[in-house]
Amino acid sequence: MKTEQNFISFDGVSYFYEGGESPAINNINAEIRRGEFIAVLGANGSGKSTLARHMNALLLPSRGRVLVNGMDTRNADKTMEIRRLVGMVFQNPDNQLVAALVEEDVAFGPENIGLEPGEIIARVDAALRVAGLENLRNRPPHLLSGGQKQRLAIAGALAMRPDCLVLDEPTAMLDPGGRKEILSLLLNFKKERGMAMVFITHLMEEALLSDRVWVMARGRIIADGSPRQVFRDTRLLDNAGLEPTPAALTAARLKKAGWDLPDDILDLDELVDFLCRL
Amino acid sequence: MPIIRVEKVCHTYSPGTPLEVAALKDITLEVQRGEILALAGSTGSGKSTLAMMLNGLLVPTKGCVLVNGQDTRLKKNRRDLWRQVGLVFQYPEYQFFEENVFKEVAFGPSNMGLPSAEIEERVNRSLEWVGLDPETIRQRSPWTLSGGQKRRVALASVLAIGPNVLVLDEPTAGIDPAGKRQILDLIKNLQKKRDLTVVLITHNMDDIARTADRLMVLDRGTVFALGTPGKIFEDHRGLRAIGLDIPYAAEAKSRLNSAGIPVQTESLNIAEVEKEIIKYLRLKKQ
Amino acid sequence: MFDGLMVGQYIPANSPVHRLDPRTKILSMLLLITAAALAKGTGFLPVAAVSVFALLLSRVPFLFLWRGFKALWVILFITFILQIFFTPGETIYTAGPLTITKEGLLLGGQMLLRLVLLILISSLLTMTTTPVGLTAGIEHLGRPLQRFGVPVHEMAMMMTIALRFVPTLLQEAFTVSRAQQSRGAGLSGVTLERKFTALVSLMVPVFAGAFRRAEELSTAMETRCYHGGAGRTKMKLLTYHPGDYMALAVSLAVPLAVLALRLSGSNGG
Ligand SMILES: Nc1ncnc2c1ncn2[C@@H]1O[C@H](COP(=O)(O)OP(=O)(O)O)[C@@H](O)[C@H]1O
Ligand SMILES: Nc1ncnc2c1ncn2[C@@H]1O[C@H](COP(=O)(O)OP(=O)(O)O)[C@@H](O)[C@H]1O
Ligand SMILES: [Mg+2]
Ligand SMILES: [Mg+2]
Repeated sequence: MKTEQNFISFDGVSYFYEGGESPAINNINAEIRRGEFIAVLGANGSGKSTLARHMNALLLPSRGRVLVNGMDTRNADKTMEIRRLVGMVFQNPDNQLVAALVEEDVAFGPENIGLEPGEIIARVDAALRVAGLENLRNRPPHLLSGGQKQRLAIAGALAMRPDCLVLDEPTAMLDPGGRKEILSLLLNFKKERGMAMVFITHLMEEALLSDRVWVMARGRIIADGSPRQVFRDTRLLDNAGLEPTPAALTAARLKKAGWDLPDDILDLDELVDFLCRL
Repeated sequence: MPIIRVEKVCHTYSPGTPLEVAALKDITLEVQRGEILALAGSTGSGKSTLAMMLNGLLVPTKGCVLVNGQDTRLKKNRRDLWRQVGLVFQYPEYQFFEENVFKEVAFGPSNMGLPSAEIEERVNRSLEWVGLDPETIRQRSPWTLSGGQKRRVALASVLAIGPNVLVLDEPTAGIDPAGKRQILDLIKNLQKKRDLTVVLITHNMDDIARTADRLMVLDRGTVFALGTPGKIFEDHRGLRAIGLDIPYAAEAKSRLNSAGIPVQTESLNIAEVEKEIIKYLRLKKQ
Repeated sequence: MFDGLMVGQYIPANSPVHRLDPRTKILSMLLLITAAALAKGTGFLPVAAVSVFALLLSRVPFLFLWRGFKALWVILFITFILQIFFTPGETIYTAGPLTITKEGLLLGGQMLLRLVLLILISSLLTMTTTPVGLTAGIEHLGRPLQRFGVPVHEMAMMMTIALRFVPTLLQEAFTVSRAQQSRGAGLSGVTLERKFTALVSLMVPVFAGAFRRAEELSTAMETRCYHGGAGRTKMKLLTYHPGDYMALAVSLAVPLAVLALRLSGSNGG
């Protein structure tokens, strides 16, 4: 059964912010399967964050409905269960850390759902290990680097043992080094498979890691497919205020100059490979 | 004569305490009139600290900064420095406080004590310079603008003061690709047409490749490299080791070369690299 | 100027004082402060001895405390001066309308000593206890009050968050102030109107920033299933160890000793 596989599904979801004339997201129909890695791309203001906040009942649809593991997000009795299943990491590393010590911050979620101290400690240890923060467990968060803070935020979400992790532009405020730390962590999660991931970004290169890409523009998902399918459509990207990867641009220009290149080259590896074989 | 000289500058926060941080260690730098100088380095490398030295907000704990030959250690020289060296902070939209764009941009000129006709003229002119239509935008609340528009209003609010030097602290952080490109083009244009000297702080290497004449790379408060971007970006391993990237064009050059496709150009302009590829393809075809 | 360091800020270390249960430290602080308030003459000896001993044990660099005193020296000094000049008694020295009395000197000295001890004792608590530990301790000790409808958990949570964000907000205030200075705020502000605008230019962004952070933080907390104190558990259970009983016994002995010294009449004042 297909629905069995769907972990989160959107049925005709629209959302209006208070005082907003047009919907921030508009008639969204989409689903996220178990273990799937989805990248969400779109210009500022295209509705990415609004969409993400529907995935764990931070926002409730004005129209339509969102189901998480079969539970309607509007059902207030299920809110805690849904939030345990769907963890979320935000853009600003400073504004999502609660406690004054790294390990206490990771423990915050498990404490909220009333786990036994022994279980909390086991989860905190495991999450810190996965995020590579064991050596920093007794540091105050404000002394960490940007990349470390975001890894801490991810560890805090992991400690809830979620089935899905939603990351809302977690790399936007980081330097290239911090960005790489986060990306390699996400790549590890992908290899292990278990957990679904929704990764919001406006960098094409980052979206290449995913199984599936959603492109958002003006509150709608205007494309849904593999990175290769989606990124070859330059008109679509342009319409969404996005830029193709630099390697794709090079390939396009070489093609225009009369050379026969495929139109689905995405990164430098593929470009160089192809040129060598030409 | 360079417009700004930074001589053997050190800066230490919380000196004499266990939480002492040496943010800058022995930095020497000359900013030449009319150039775009990029300043790169990972977070915490001291970029913002150096930026605040350039307009006298911070005074070095050792060494000195000379702006137009005037030493910023003297209070009387610091007083009017904000008119000569405009500093656009990181996420400048967080410093908005006025109810409309006109007032926001007029804040600087009003603090100069200019007559209102002159203020009006400066506001309109600087909004035009950043590509915004003064008539349609002046009454709007700055909070309701899009991310890219907010940045440009913030830039206009500093340009309205009429500085010779513009220091921009990560001006494209958090902006989407289209907005980023607009802002960079704008900066390049301003430097060319308005005879501005620009110090551009960023850790986006493609931005640097696209705009900068010279580059200084900071690493934990020390100068890692100072020179032309083309030269500095040859050291891929070094830059990666200090948490930076290299621009696409440089990466492409090195990958192509090691795959046996010769790319000779010094330039970081991707068009030049592509010309070389085409040259190679033509040769191969024959 | 703010440079990332605050008086009384937690200083990580692994000393015997750091390892004490936060409840022990809170109770001891209350006991020692009571003792300092009651002390007179030789009564200061046990309070000072125990406080200094704890300070040495805690391995907190003396410099931190010194900064604390530096920040408050104006208050200390004014208190001292007021006592010296405005206490009637046996005159030692006269300068114009002002007279210094023996009683004034004594009282002023005691007041000064008392304030210094107060600062020392309370800084010791905050410098050796994590904010989380501190709030957990307060929450625990305040638990009996819950029965009377006092929202102890919520108050403790608010305190944790306030402590966590004070450095960030201060840093932000300085950034905004510097940014507005770069646009000329408060530099050539001669007219009242311009001074007022300069003030607004600081206040509005700082408050807007605090609200933005508060909103983002509460979203992040909700995401992690926070829903108040009901059904919440703790990773670190508070448990008393032998050291705690010892510390409590010593702290309890101090006010008793002070009282005994006062009653036996061997006071200096
Ligand atoms: N709290 C809010 N109140 C009113 N409008 C909002 C709010 N948050 C977002 N919006 C509007 O909703 C639209 C989508 O925003 P958002 O989901 O944040 O986009 P993105 O994350 O893609 O940048 C935008 O037009 C934005 O102005
Ligand atoms: N107000 C301050 N107090 C103490 N340390 C600071 C302060 N501002 C910056 N620092 C420290 O100085 C170093 C350089 O910071 P900064 O100049 O902001 O770097 P960048 O802009 O390159 O990220 C960092 O280690 C930072 O933690
Ligand atoms: Mg967003
Ligand atoms: Mg900075």
